[in-house]
Amino acid sequence: MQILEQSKVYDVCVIGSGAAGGMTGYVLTRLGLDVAMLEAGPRRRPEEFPVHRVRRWNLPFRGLRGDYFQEYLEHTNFLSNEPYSWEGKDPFQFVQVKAVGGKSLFWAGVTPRFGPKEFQPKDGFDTPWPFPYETVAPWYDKVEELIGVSSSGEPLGAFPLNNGLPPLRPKAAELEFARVCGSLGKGLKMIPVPKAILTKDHRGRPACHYCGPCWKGCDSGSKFDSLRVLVQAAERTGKLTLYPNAKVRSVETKDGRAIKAHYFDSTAMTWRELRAKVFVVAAGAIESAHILLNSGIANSSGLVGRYLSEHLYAAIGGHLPQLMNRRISNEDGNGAHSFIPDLTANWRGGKFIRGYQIFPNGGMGETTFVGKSLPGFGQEWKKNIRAYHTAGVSVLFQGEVLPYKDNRIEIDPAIKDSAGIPGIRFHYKWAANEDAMFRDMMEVGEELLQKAGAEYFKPPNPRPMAHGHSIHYVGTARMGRDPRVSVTDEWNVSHDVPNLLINDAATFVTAGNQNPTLTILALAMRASERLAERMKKGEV
Amino acid sequence: MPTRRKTLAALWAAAVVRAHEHAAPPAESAAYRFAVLNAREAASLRRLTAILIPADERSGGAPAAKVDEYVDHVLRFATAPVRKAWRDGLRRFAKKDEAALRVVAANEFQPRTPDERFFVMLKDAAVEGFYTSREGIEKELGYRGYTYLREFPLANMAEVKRPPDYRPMLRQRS
Repeated sequence: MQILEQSKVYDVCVIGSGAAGGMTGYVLTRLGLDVAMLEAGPRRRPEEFPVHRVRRWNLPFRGLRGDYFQEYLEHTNFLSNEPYSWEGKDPFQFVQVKAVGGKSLFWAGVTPRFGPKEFQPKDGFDTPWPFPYETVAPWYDKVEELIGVSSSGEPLGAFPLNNGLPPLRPKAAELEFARVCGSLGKGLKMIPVPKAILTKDHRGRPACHYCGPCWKGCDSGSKFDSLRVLVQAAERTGKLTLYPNAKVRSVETKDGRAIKAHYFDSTAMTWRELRAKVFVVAAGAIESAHILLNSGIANSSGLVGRYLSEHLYAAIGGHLPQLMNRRISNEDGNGAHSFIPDLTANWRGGKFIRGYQIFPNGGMGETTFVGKSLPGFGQEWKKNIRAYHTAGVSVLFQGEVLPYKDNRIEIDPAIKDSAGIPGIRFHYKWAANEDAMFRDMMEVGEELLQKAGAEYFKPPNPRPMAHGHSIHYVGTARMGRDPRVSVTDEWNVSHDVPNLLINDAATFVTAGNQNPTLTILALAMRASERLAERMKKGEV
Repeated sequence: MPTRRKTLAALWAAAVVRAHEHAAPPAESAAYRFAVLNAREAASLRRLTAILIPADERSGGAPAAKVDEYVDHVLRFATAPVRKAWRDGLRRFAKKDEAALRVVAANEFQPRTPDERFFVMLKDAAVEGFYTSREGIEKELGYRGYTYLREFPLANMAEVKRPPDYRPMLRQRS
């Protein structure tokens, strides 16, 4: 096989162009380093983003084949369809967006900070992060200013306040839930969701126009994505060389140092090599671990791929009679505008440890299937459907999955992807803590619905959403001070390979109950600034 | 133990899931060629769904939304028992008028007979096909999303009130 080798040696090779890779490239190029960025997917133009163009009725199965999001990504050619496998009967939903910008193109934009109790849990389970909240707080400040984050409005207990732009305005359904939160007696409080969605013009990007769900991709750039906020800014420095369609198989080391990346150029259908002084793996927690395992490096601890975690998702739905028969307007906004952060432990007692966020939501959604639950058919039945359509609500839960050593990815012995790269096998289970948390979610959800006066059915056989549904993959190369029980140090640098960093959520020690992207950005910015300083001093 | 109706419903859902694995035409292509249902069955399906979701001043109902094509499209990827249940049901229902449908609908939340079970399949598919179509979303429901707002409006809480004649209407299948 012919392998094309490049003679140029870059200062830094960044693998991945999503939130982590984009931030790494942004910071390093602006500090004068010569950066190559390898991205497995193609470069798609922002005007190709399909949010307004591809509607539910354009999808072959109308978003009903199981998961609207996945059908949408697949139909618009953003979804990676590389094969993978899983142990046991429950599949692991592994969503990879193949495009410059990665999953940040299609995230929902929710940006709560991790709080003190996420970095330093007091329950004695497993191990804390190697630093407290205060270490990360200034980086949260910087990231929020750079990407534009709407404020959560007020500080609440240990839940840190996001700085920034005006808060999102609540929707009618959210105000109804806010009204009943207090009557639950659990200290729950509904506040504006902090989101990387602009509530006013910011740094040359326009304010949100509230067209619809941000997970369909934003055409105006009002939602943060890595392509428009980070990668393009890095390109403007003249210091970034972007290699799209470059699928990395492995990073090669020599004498204990990383020397080159091996990648498949899926445009030219050929293998290539790229040399650099430093390598930063930032392909998303699962893909980064995949690359490291295929490389056979940075794994003296044996923990690469282990402690895979994400979030437990569950939902319960109903209809609020007080929201029936409203005049139709565009009130769905950009998804959830309010939420209930995890503030309080006072209701859960000893049932489980760690916490969850609650997103009670409602609106005049794109569709409703309430007709199945309304008797009859014909004109009168249709009128009833219209009455209920404006009243649909759901309570969505996002909870912390504890880090378990045996939850992991391994290299599948048989599966190969389209380039012949060995694929992933998932080993992933939830345990008693997740079960107890899920039962509590259902109880709290029912209480919220009852207090709000909802018409709803108790789910006969409630189940959480599938493993991996959150797409908040974390933990597969955890950080720590002790090289025996961690993969990187607290600056994302491999304990084993001094010129290798892992800059994405792979280094997370806990999943928290918060959406991970803001923390990914903050830690990538922190690690990258330090890397640039050390390189300038010749320390790497 | 799963009931037959539940099994068929699960198989229908599985067909929707399986369908993505194959190349598929756009959901609302102009010239759809029926692949599973023959002309008589398709005509029966068209007539029945038009009774369930009739046209009115708001929209063209199930016929305009081409619910028949959606059903056939999903059936392309369905298992043999699901296809058979549909074809048998459409033949049995070929002569049923609105009054006859009201009779089989009376038991729709505890269906027992084959006709009652087929009615539930038909109704669920009609709901899915119509309320995911452009006709159903834009005309019938009047969905206003994907339009541009200069700023997000304050919630209109004045119109948030329980309808004076409200009584719970939703029913759960058993």
